[in-house]
Formats: sequence, C-alpha cells, structure tokens
Amino acid sequence: MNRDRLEDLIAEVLRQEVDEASYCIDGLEDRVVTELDGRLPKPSLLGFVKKMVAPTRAGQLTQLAIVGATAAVFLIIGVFIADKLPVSNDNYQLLTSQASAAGESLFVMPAPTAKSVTVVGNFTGWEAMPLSDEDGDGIWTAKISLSPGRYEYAFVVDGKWWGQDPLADEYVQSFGQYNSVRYIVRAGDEA
Amino acid sequence: MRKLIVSAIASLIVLILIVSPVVAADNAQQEEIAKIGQALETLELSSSGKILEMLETGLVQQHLMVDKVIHVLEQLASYQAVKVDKEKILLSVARAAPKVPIGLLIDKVEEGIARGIGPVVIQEVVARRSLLLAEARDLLYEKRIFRGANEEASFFALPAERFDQLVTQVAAAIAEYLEAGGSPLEGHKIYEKINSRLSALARGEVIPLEDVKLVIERIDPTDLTRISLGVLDQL
Repeated sequence: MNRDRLEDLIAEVLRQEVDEASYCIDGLEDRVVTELDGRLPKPSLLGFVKKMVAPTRAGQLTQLAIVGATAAVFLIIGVFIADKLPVSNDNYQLLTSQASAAGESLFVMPAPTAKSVTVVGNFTGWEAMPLSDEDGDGIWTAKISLSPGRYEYAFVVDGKWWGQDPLADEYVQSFGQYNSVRYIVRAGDEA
Repeated sequence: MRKLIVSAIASLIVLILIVSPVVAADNAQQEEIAKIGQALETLELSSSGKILEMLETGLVQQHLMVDKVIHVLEQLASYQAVKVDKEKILLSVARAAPKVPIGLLIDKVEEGIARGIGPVVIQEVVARRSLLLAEARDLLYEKRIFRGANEEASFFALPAERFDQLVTQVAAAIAEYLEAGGSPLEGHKIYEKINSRLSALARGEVIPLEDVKLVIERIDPTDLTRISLGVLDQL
C-alpha cells in the first residue's frame, strides 16, 4: 500500500466518523441559545426599579427623565382641570364677596352643556329665576337679594331638578327629593 | 249753649280720630279679602265660600299673608289636576288658617306644584304639617309660652309674629325629620334639629335669641317623641 492510498483511506474513515456524529451537532446552536435563555434571570419590575436607582450615570439620567416627564404630565393635567373647574376658590371668594358687599346672595351652578339653568326656592314662590352664563364658561350664576332667614331651594338644569348645591348650609328632603338650605344673616354678621 | 256745641263738636272729632284708623284697617282687610275672593273665583270650586270664610278668619288672626295666598291660588289654577283634588288641597290649607300660621303649608303646596307632584301626595304633606303646626302651638302653650296680640312682648305672651315664627320652625323641623325617615322615638335627635335650626335663625337675627332660649329650655325630647307619635297616629 502506497502512502497516497493510505491517506485516502484515513480521510474516508474520518468522513464516515464525522457523518455518523453529525446528528449531534445539528441544531446545537439553537439548543445552546435556548438553554442559556432558560438560565438567564427574567426581567421584573423590581429589577427595573433597581436598575433605575442604580448609582450609575445612566440610572441617574433615567431617573431625571422620569421625574421630569411625570411633573410635566401632572402640570398639563392640572392646568387642564383648573381650566375646567366650575369656579376656582379665588374666583368664588371674589364673586361671593362682591355679592355680599351688594347685600346679595350668590347662586352658582356648573353646567357646561346646559341650555338653561334656573333656581327655584321658597324665596321665589318656587317659580323659576334664571341664572346666566355670559362668558360661556359653563358656570351659571345669579345674585339675589334675600333678607335674613332660612331658605330652601334647588337648581333646575334643562328641566331637571338638582337639589344638592355644594355651597348650601344643609340639605333637607322634600317630596322624596333633596332641597338645599341657606341661612342668610344680616350683612356684617357672616361667620 | 255755644259752649255745649263746641264741646259736642270736639267730642265728635275725637271720636272720629279714634274710630277712623279702625275703619280704615277694616276697609283694607275687606279689600284684601276681596282680592283673595277674586283669585278663588277663577278656580270655580264648590266650596269657595267656605274656604274664603276660613281664610278671612286666618287673616284676622294674622296667620297668613295675602300675597302668598293669591300666589298659591294662581298656581293652583294652572296646576294639572281635577277640581276636586285642587279643592281638597285648598281645604287642607284653609282649615288650618284660623288656628295656626299657614305660610309653611302654602310653601309646600307651591313646591309640590312646581315639582309636578300629584295632588294626593301634596295633600298628605299639607295634612301632616298642618297637624304638626297645631301640635307645636299646643306644646308651646303647654310650656307656658303664649301668643299675644301686641307687637311688644309682655310678661305673659310673645308678640303674635314671634310666637308664630317659633310654631312654624318647630313644626317644620319635626316634619323634615320625620319625612327624612327619622324615628319619632328618638326625641333627642328631633330636639337637636330644633335647637340647631332655631340657633341658626337667632344668629341671623331672624328670631330673638331670648325666644330660642325660651323654647329650648322648656321643651324636652320626650315632648317631641310624644307629639310626633301623636301626629303619625292621626294620619
């Protein structure tokens, strides 16, 4: 047997060996990746938080970004709500003090979509007295002169009675519904 | 002779001066009754005469305000109910007029009409409040708080307007408590209601503080339970 023939035989045997063992390496890469994936820790909220608070520069930047974005969102929501609120406390106090100085009582009803708002009460003989919304902001108001006493009333919004005015002193039930009650004191006697 | 004539003329003048305000007041009252009568006519009720008579007595007793009566009559005229039902409501109010202040009753009729409540319910509410007004008045009498005719309070009695105000507020407070489902057995709660209501009105100088003290010191929760149960029994 010459040298060339021997090398061919060795190569043939090796090829056969490799062919026989090739099933072992088929999909090996996929199997390794799957195995490693199973061993890696799963992402969790706690992990995310830990990462965020980590004293690294990237973590600090992320924290700043989150805080800033949250503040911006709250600021936008706040501005939006404040604009939509019936009457801000300052506005209400101003309106009340103006009405009070004129010896009048202020009636306020937020009803942005209403077509008509009236107040009825024992000071009107339970007949409708209109509220107005001149600036179209959905806040209906009326200033009414009332002598000292106890008054029951309700608002009527597009024909529907609304007896629980948040600005009332108390509420009573009448005919199975609520009426608001205001006690009017002499000017200068307000608590 | 001349002296006699002069003194006769003087006496006549004095008599005219004394009588004329009474006559004027009587005329004014007659005019007011006539106004009520006119408003009542529009309702065309069979017992108009009887109702007018009771309201006239109430007017003499200072138990009603003419404007309020005329207003409620106008509202009843446009109220969607049969005549018999309107008459029942009005009779409930008028029957009370000679005995107690009826402002509270008129107020409830007006509210009931405005809310579109049926006549039977309005009549029930008026009947209950009418009984409570009578009970409240009797309770004050029982506690030696009386109604006088003059504007000044005397040792024995409060001026009519002040007494009526107390009767109205006590009756209304009990009515509201019961209508909200409160138990008549819990007299202390009714007492608190009356106390807070009268005190608030005293702060607004609607009722003199001395009147409030008079009532609060003399009535007690058991009185209120008794009259509440009495009224519920009668209904």
